[in-house]
Amino acid sequence: MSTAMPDFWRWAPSVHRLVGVKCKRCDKVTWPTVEMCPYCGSTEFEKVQLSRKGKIITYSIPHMMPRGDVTPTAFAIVETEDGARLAGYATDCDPYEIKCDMPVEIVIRRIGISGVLDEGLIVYGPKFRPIRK
Amino acid sequence: MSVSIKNKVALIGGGVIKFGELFEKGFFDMMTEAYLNCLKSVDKGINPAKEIDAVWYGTIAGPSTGATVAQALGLIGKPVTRLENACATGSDTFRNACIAVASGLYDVVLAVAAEKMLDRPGGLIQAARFFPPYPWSYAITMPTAFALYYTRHMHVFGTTREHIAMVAVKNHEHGFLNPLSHFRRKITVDTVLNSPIVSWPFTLYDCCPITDGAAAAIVCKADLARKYTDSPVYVVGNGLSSDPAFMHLRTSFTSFPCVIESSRQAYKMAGITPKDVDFAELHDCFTGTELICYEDNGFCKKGEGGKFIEEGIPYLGAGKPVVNPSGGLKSHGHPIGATGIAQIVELFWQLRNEAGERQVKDSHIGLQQNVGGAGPQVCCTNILSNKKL
Repeated sequence: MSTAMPDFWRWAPSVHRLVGVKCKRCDKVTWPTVEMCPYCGSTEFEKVQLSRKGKIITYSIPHMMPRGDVTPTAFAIVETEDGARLAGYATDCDPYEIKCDMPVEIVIRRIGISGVLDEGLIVYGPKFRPIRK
Repeated sequence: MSVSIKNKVALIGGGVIKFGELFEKGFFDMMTEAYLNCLKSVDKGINPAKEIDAVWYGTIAGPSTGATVAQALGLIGKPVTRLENACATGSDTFRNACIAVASGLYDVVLAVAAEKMLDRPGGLIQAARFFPPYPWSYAITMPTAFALYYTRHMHVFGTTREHIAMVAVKNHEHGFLNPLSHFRRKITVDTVLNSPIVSWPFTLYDCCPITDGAAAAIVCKADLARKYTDSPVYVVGNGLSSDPAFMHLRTSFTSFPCVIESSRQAYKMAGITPKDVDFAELHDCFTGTELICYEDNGFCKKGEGGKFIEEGIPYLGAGKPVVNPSGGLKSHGHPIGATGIAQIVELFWQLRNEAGERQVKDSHIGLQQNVGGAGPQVCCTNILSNKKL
């Protein structure tokens, strides 16, 4: 299911700026923003700016991907310093450098080209890279 | 949970077709063949037009409306409901057919499912683009989604790639004995480790194939069962549970909460514990998934899935429970929507001593389970027994 233009436009502020919502009832942070907390169902939130630093919870390294994707690339679940979770691909590194619990920083990069009608919609989102001194 | 359906529903017929690359058979060719095999399997016969009261129809990518199935199976006029629940479609189709009978609304219900995966290119590598519809489209594949769990499992518990290779070896050994399997060849741990990496740590042989197939099962009120057979199989428990669709919102990467919860519901309804299960058809879409499911179904402790397979416990003729005597998704095949019902049919044969070379001896209780989605987001479990519990 490719990205429909209106969907992309609705999600962009949250995805591009790493803005999530913190539930006032259960304190869990959900990114991107939602209308209802997936964990407790509350609708009371405060907007939060996610930290750009985090660590790898887990990862996998696909060597076979749908047409047009660069391989191999590491795909990871990352937890930010403030406890929010994101998912995305690693960048600026050898995919096999990525390890569980490794500290990373989050950057906004081009994810790919999408579009329901193949209209060439350029999709941006978070990627992760090891922190280099 | 206020009402149980334990012992209220009987499985009186089951049929499948040989799974594989079936280019010469269309979607309804496969479904009709499985359905006819199912009708033939009813010991004392059944007149479907007169006696089938309703149909539940499962598929992921097949025609979306029930009327197409009514037309194909000569059941025009009957109520047909189409159901989809990712890779748990088959189990949940069966579960809903049982609920319909147990409700008292229908006496006899057909659960039928089919999947054509090879007519269009892509299969599971492309399929994950559908689960879930991330607008920012990071295009994860199914092997990657499930591999995430095994990476963390290895990190926390010290399980190895050899352990999951052993799961593939076991399922190929069992599948070798099954004339209906997609693949029938034995392999070794080296076969698995030396094959191309699909998504580290999974290689080609850690992944189930892309398969065409169909399956059908007929259930009826338990007190009507003897009209159709002297060896009915009873439905004693079921369960269904959902986890977050988005993987980054999952709460664990070393276990599947939906599996723990769905099996818990099923055990509770049946009044049994994991120790009572003689054999289980688990969802080895990937070898790592099966290993984690040993733990989450309570067959061994959390973290000891590697030890469990290393000790050879789930092999035919070895310990208890035997896991995937049919060959599992890995060897027998995974036509997504149909898999769950095909597993139910395996339980039907096993519990009636009709499984030939792959018969689990002295078995009374079988567990059937599917997980579905990109990394499990849903799990459906059904427990059957050849006697009322």
